[in-house]
Amino acid sequence: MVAKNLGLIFKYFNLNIRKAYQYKTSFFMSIIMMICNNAFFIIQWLIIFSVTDRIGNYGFEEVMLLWALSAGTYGVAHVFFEGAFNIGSLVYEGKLDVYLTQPKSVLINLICSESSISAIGDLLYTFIALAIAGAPWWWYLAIIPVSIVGGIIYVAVVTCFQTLSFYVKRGSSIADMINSAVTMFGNYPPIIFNSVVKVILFTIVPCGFMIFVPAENLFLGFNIWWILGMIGFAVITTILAFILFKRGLRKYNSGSLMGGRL
Amino acid sequence: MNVIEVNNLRKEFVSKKKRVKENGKTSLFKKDKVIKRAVDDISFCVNEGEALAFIGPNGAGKSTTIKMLTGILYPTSGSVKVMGLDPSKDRIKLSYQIGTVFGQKEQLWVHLSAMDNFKFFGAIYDIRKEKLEKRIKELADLFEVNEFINQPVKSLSLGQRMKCEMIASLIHEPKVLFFDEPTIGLDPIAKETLRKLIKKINKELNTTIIFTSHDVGDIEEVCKRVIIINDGKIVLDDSMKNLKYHYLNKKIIEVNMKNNIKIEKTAGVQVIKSKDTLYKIEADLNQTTMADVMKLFNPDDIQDITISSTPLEEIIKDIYKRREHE
Repeated sequence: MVAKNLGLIFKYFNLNIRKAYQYKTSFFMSIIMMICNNAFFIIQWLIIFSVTDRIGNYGFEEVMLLWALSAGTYGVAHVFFEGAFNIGSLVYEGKLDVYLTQPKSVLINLICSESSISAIGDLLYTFIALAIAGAPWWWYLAIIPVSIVGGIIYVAVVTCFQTLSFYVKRGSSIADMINSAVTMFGNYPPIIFNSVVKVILFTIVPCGFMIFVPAENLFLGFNIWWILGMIGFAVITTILAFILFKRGLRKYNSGSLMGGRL
Repeated sequence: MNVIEVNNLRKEFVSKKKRVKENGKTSLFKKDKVIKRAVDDISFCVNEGEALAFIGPNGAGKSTTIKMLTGILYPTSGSVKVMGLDPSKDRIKLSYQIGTVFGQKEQLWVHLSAMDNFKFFGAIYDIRKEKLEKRIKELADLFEVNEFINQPVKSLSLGQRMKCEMIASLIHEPKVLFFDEPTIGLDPIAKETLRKLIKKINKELNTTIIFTSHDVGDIEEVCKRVIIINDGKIVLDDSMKNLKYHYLNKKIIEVNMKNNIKIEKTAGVQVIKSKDTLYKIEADLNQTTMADVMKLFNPDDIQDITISSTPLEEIIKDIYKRREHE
């Protein structure tokens, strides 16, 4: 079953890349622009670190590690599971019919049916940021599984909130807010946040387990329990996402809007 | 053998409407629950290899019923069995056995070629590569799509797209095929081609066909049995032969003549409207023939003529009237 679902994820990825690659210039521009967009923030951090040497135990290299982790998890989520960020609008417009008539898990089928091409730029930026940080060789390898687990957490939490659309009109706006919060908070050293914000960052805005835990307990230090905690959080949120989506599906009202798959 | 069994099926949609106060103003916060019964206690069976037409006006409950039969919607009450499976509980198992074509919703990826789409659907249904290639070839020959199979779907005409939609839904050799208004938006020639193909699928592949439409013309050729649904209830469940004899035998003829004429009284012919040189008559073809009706008009004086079947709404009214008399 896992092999079949992995096959489906890569089949969709392949189709989405081929679809986007029909417009080559636009394809490469989206990727390059995303890399440039991320790179602009280096200037901001260089300015900050010209004023102070460190923020807590975070220097320029450590902040670049946060950027690498943030870009990696964001990239995995948006390149392979972009559909998760559109569940709300698909439910609201009654466009789940195609997925419901196919012999696959509706949720998996739906979330991996779309890819964000610009997020490929984020995936590439992960390694660029590590290079800027002067990372040791093993960071380049370790960041791959860490980004996958972080990406799964991100997608699972967003999916949980997107399923509100089955019950509330435009219920996905909370999920959109969380999406913005992840990009907003994930790139700053966790030391600057007070305990209330930290609680939020380890629960509904999952930056804590996605980015801060692997940064401090795998790359900058080592604590197996926190790493296991990250994996556990990924498993729990994934199970929760499947349960909430399945329950919500009973409330689904199909629509009759004319439409196709673009 | 019954491939579909529907018993006392019901579907209600719940919505909320702002409450209207006694003074006629709408309340800002208080809302009332509004229950709309889209499908109201319907029961029917479909045999293997049967071609069933499911017709009714817009909003009658056709698509809602089809969506409950395919596992898209959960019924409010009642039971459904398709190929012995409950669509809401055994959705994945059932989807290997059924195919769907929704006229209003394309399942193909428009930026990719038809061939790439077929291969993708093959992967979705876990079909082995060699078997899939053989199946695509068979269907491409049957539907005559070889000429444009490698073109992006977005560049195809609507008729060509619908052919590809049908191939995509047949790729896994379904036993039952659901068509929900597949001819919507098609020109008469494309409609005719599609109808012939559906008939071919039914006869040559022995696939059970459930076909919904609000166009009576669509179903005359394809189906042997018809269910008419209105306001969520089954109004008629009969053979196409009987429907044709009792209800589809009437034609509406609108003629614009050069001069005023007097239409002679003829059995089976009724003048509905006569204004200046425009005449609208209804001809009952059980009592007269179209040739005899045409004799009422001098062909040299005809400026324009339209012949149409009785609209579905009229047929439904007629069915209700007949029942009241019985």
